[in-house]
Amino acid sequence: MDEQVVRRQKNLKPLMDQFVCVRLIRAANLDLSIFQFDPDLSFAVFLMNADKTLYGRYGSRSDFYEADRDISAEGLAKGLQRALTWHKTYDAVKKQFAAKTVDAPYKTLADYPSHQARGGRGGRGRCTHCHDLRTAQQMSYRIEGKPVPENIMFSWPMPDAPGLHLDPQEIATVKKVWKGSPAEKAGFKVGDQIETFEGQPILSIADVQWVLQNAGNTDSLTANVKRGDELKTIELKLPAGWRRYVDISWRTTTDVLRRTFMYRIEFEELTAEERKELGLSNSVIALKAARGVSRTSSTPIVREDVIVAVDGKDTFMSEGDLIAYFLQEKKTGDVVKVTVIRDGKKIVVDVPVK
Amino acid sequence: MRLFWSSLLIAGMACLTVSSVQADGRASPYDRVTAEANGWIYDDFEAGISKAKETGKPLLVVLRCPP
Repeated sequence: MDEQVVRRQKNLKPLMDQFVCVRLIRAANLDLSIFQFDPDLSFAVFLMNADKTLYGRYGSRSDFYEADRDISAEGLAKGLQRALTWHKTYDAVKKQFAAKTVDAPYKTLADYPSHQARGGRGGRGRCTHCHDLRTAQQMSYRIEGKPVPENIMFSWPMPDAPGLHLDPQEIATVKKVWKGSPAEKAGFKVGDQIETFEGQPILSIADVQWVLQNAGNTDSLTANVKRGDELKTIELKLPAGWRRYVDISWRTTTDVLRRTFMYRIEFEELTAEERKELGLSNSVIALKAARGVSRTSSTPIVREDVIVAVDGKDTFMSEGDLIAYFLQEKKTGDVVKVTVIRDGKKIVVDVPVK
Repeated sequence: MRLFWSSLLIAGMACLTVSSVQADGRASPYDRVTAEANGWIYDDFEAGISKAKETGKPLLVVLRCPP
């Protein structure tokens, strides 16, 4: 996708030529009062006015290997077109963009004390990366001994979290509504085009994510959608824990957390068949240590161990839940009692929190 | 033989210009060349702001972070 954009691919060129195009490659220098984005992205687009007011952002991702799954040249072209329309009538619509950015706690990544504490670099002598920004945010709480908040732990949720799968070929058109989800309960339908969300004009899936990112842990959000020739207002009620319905295992920042707090172990949820073999129901935790350690590692948990309870609770369902437990409920030095099935036997191991 | 090596060198350079990111994760030195050849202002946000003010155009800013 980046190559198509940098080379002004045919269908993008006529639109891109109406913009001043700027390419930034250094995360360390970014002004975080302007550039607020999902730091796990390696490609992000910002459309803005010369007064630095943001019209919208483009760039979404939900998978490590398929980086382009949630974006397309067609979707970007439609977003560019919409931004150009707003630009023409800027004075009349300017106020609507006020909530497209929020106050940033620090002006640049280098200003984060937690980033300075880690040596101010991305590690291993390499450049500072965008994902170092989220790591700096997460570690800020850790250093202060505070739990990492839900919106930092499960940040930049895709619209799938409340049940909306949006079409990457469009601006923000509903392609699927997940059954039983808050979106279904709210009345969203396939084909709905989200025009505004919490009063913010929308030009991409990333813009929808921005509104979700800034929503509370339980909240009610207003969407204005176009359904055929009709305009409808929909209230989307977000239930507790709604952010956890998306997978964060693909994120580079999750990998940093694994390395820092989880003994480098990458966990995988057991399949239905594997659960059956071990006599585990579908409603309890069943996370297998899949990668990052060997059978003979000196770590408390070794490869092939299956976690079936943590501190006596079996309600953690994903690796994200497990990492969140360590970062939200535990402090450095605490010991977590983890029940695992190892070689067919259930044992409890002590896992010191780093 | 000389033609073979020259062709190989040219092909190698062409490959480098296609990717904006090197194997070690740093931006390729050819990234700037490719971007500027296609009309981008490279790594200078304030220059982009000045040009946008001068031309009345909006800005399209791409943040490309080597993975």
